[in-house]
Amino acid sequence: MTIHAQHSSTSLAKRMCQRLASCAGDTLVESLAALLIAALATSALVIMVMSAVNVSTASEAAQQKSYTEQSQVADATVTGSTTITISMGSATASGIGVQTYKSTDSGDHLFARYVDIAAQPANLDAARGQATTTGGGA
Amino acid sequence: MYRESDITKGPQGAATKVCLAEKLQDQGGASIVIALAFFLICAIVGSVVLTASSVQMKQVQTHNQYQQAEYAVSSAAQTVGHELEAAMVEVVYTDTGDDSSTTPDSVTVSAESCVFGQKFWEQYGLDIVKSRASETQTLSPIMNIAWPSDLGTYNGAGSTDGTVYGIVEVDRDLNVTVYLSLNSSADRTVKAYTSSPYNMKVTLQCVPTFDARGCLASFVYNPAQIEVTSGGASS
Repeated sequence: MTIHAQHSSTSLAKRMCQRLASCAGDTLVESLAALLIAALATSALVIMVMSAVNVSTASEAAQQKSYTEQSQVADATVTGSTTITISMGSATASGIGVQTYKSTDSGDHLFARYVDIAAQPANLDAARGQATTTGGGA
Repeated sequence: MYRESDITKGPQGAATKVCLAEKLQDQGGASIVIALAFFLICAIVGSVVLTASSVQMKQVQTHNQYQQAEYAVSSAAQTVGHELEAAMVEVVYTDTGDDSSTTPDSVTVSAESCVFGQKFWEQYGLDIVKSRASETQTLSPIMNIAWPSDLGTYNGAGSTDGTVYGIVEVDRDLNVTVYLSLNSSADRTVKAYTSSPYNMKVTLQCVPTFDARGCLASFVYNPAQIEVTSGGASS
């Protein structure tokens, strides 16, 4: 028993020494494959982060444009006038004069609103004239 | 710190010895596994970052659409409110000679510069006055306020063409309430459509005048009150 234990411990020490001296590990193919995967992962991460940065930049620009155009619409600068139609059953009224507020003068505007032209006392006379000329009145 | 003899002593020492021997003989590597784990982490992080930026971009677009929807409904609310508040309605009774008739015969509308207000009261005024003693009336036709074509294509949320729909209620005191929505649903039991991004309510308080007999002689309206009702999905 003692001889066996002594033999085992000697063998273990020998193996340990061999292991420490060994250069065995992953094969070259495994290492290259791992390297390739790591490179792909890094590339994909960089591409996705760059895309996210670009999208965020575009988003920020769009948000800035949105705020700017909202300010333009909220500003009391009339960009034009037109007429609208309100109908309810057989009661249809066309030619209701409204003042329009658009964020930009081009067709590619984000926001637009209108206000009844007669809602402002200063425009009362103009509204009367428009209602008469458009023939939409009663 | 342990000595080599400690490993080989006892049952536990034997098991440790076997395990250590297997470990020493193992020549397998973990580089592939580590690389795959790294790839997985990169994919997850990249996806999260990309998704977050995409959501932010979509949020800006959604904000613009809802803002335009608010402009559409509020514009319609202001216009409808002004059109209805500017009218003065006089009630005409049948002249029977004995001053006993209290049944309205017709209504006369004085409504300069408010085209729809005049049309509305001419069309529905008499019925409203006749039925005012009953409960709150909900007028059956749905009001449509078209989006002005001069403002270009409607690009807001909740509607394809920007038309605003309204349901008109008149209570027994002749107060008028208009429920406006971008939803064209004919479900009249729900006045504040939850599927519409913006709903508004226009309230006009009636100021009636009575004659010596106590009959309604005429009525006008106070300036319209506009408030946002439920269904608004703010951005």
